[in-house]
Amino acid sequence: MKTKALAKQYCHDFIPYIWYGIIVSVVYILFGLLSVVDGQPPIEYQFKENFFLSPYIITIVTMIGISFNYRRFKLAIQSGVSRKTFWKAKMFFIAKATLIVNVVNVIISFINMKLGPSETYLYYQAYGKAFSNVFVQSISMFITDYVVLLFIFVAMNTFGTMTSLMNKIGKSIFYSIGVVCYMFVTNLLTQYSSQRLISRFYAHINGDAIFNFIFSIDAKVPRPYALIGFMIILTIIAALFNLLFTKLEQVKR
Amino acid sequence: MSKIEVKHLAKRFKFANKPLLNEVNFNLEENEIYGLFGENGAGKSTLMSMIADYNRPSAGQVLFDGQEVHENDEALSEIYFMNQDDMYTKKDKVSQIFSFVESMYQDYDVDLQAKLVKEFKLDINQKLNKLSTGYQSIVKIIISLCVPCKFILLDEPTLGLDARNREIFQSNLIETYSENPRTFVISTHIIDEIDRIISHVLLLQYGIIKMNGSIDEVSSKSYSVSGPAEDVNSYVDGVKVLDEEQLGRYKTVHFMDQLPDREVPASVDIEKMKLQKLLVYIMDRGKL
Repeated sequence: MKTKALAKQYCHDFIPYIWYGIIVSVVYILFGLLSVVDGQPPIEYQFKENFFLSPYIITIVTMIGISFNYRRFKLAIQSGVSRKTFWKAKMFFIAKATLIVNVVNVIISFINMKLGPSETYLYYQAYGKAFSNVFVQSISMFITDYVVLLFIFVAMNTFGTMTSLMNKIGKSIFYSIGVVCYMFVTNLLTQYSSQRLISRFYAHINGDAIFNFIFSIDAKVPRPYALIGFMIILTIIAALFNLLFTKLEQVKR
Repeated sequence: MSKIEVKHLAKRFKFANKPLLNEVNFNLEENEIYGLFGENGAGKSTLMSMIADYNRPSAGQVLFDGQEVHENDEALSEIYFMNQDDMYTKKDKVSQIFSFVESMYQDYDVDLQAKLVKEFKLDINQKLNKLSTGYQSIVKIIISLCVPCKFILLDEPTLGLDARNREIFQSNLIETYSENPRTFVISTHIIDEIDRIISHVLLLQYGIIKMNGSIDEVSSKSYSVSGPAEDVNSYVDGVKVLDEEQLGRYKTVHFMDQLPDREVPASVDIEKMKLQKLLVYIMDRGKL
């Protein structure tokens, strides 16, 4: 009872982030249209160019909303639940939130496909010929998107749960280290020696074969089964890490 | 009868010079009203938060009916901690917060909630963050009195409340307690206002429970004797005096002992020492 009630409240608090995502998308499209000068490129073309990014913008904005953990923790602990029940409520909420965001994204994607070629959508780029039946193809697209989005959301929430264990100083240090690591890695990637090292490592672990297997790229008719399975495994791993961090003591702000 | 046992509880914060709580031991029995007192920073809120499993102790344990409270849904559903922090969604309307709490607790007292909303003149259509500090406390008070938990921990419940609303809170606490007895632990600095409500005193100082006893036990041994200085002096002669005040010839003497076995002069008044006076004395001197 408490798990469902908590998840419902979390969803209620999360819904505004979908609106924020839609607002950001609209603003992005409008800014895109501003770049049209003297009808070049044509306004319809520019609109389509920007519109197809809407689901990804909504996903990014909602990812931020999913990541907040401390306020959810406060609500749960105030309501007399254990951390494990809180974690269950979070997972239940993420599953629901993913469904809502996915429905919004799929609707926008269908509009997008009506406006232009279906290949503008990532699923169709990889698995456009997976099923000949449009209905089955749509279901497959929905499930694949859902599973991928579920992993992204669980991973983001796990990240938020981890950072909520830190105070402001801890977070500042953590983010600073992140920025330094990012700069270090990007700098490393520009150097030929490190590129060679990475290529060797990639070849050593047979990276091509792994990615081909996961994305079914080398199959005659690529189907997303392996990707779905792989994402489910990653989601479970992320969820277990989430449980681990949830059980630790939160820092009082 | 349910009870909470606090055993050898200690709390040391990272980078702190000394532990905040050291070897805290006491029991909370069912259907009693406890007053938890202590100076600012004594650790009252931390102690309450550890009982409700908000924070983890550095050592020791909190047991509910012999079972660890930590990660125990059954025990936690019987403990409600009214925190000084904002725990509910600030952007929600008060009515939405009430609905959420109602959905969390099966036997939540909706009728009492409606009565309290009316008495406190609370606008439930306002958003929580738009309310004054006093009314934010009132929202928390209403929830605390309506949740069907056996143990209710109230941390500074009257924070920001005006005299009228403090009166409403006290009268409703007594009323709801009489109708549906459960355990209340009230932490406050306004001791005078709750000494008529509480049945037990817990005094926290220097990380330990300095005083733990029923209000009758504490007040039966503490007296204030006042009257003309010479009469008071002759009456309390030989008694270990805790504190004394003198205004001209009029003197008041406070002590914690049996009354002297001698005739009380007609000019001398004897009354029970006020709890606030006694606690302030103990906190000042650091000893009983």
